Amino acid sequence: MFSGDLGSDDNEIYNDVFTHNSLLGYEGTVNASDITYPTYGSIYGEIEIYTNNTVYKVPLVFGDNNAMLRRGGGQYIGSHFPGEGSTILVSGHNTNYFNCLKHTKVGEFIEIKTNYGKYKYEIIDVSAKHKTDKTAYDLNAEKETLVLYTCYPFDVVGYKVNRYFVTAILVSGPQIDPYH
Amino acid sequence: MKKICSILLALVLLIVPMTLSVSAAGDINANEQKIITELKKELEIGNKKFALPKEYVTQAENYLKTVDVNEAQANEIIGYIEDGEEILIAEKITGTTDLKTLPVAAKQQILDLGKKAVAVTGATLTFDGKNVVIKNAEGKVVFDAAPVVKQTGAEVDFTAIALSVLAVVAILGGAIVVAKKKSLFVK
Repeated sequence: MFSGDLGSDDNEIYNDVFTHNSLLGYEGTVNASDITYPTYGSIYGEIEIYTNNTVYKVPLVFGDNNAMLRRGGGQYIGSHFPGEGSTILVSGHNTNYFNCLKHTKVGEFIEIKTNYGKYKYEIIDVSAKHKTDKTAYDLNAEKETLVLYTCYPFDVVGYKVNRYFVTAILVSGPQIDPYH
Repeated sequence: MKKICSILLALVLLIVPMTLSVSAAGDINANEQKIITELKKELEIGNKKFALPKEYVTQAENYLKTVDVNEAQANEIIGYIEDGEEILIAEKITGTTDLKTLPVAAKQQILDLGKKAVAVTGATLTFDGKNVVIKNAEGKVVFDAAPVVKQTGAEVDFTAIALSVLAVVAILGGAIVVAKKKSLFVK
């Protein structure tokens, strides 16, 4: 790995909180007090990316350091959770979990299953931008937006300054009531 | 700038008693909301406004979902925030970019406040000269001032690559020796 913390946290025990629950739906409201929020490094959901005639399933991890990106797609801890009505920013390696992003097209769907609800998002933009280009995501957004990104280009080994961003907006999913 | 913002936020995050269960209610109670409101408040210094980066506030919010804060604790937390604000006002900081101009003594003051808060809660604040990371008593990260966008490129194990190249060289070398012994090379 090129960045600094190769191997760190690999020996940690993570308190994963995700379990498949077929009873959970895409509608309604869920109380925050009923949610078991993840701690740093734990898996709390599963991302399903529908593209290339395939469903790519990626574990959703809370935290995005190198150790976490070896476990799945890593959510930036300064972004929001699905159902909170703002931006969920998730990164993944372009060699494994998020290699499939190169197939994605506008109009395709991404779903996130959590331990408190299921969420469906529609892709509205795919584009490569510089890693410091803050127009690629809006952490202040008042509309629920899922942003997945990975290093770009996909087939070049080494340090890259560009990222491939896939932006999707919420189609359906239970909203979280933060005060109950 | 990020260092100072990080330490200011540390005052908030680390004062929360870590004796509380991590499985505490995920809702934001009135006390926690007071803290979030204080964090979101724009500080007017001179003719300019100072505010914490949104992503730092969200990290605080996400942390507060895992604990329960009572009124006394919230007031103590807000007191620490206000102490940090007073330092900025005293130093006439008129914007986030001005933070790097803070005198060393003021920076140290803020850092010390952060460390004291950490000691109260049993948590740790790590500042390596570049980045601030805060971990709770269980050793889990609750705040990281690292850049938002991470490196997500190919994992390259240079050791494996070097060994592979050596292996290829060795095999080729061995093949050449064998070929020479068998007089396969034509002069």
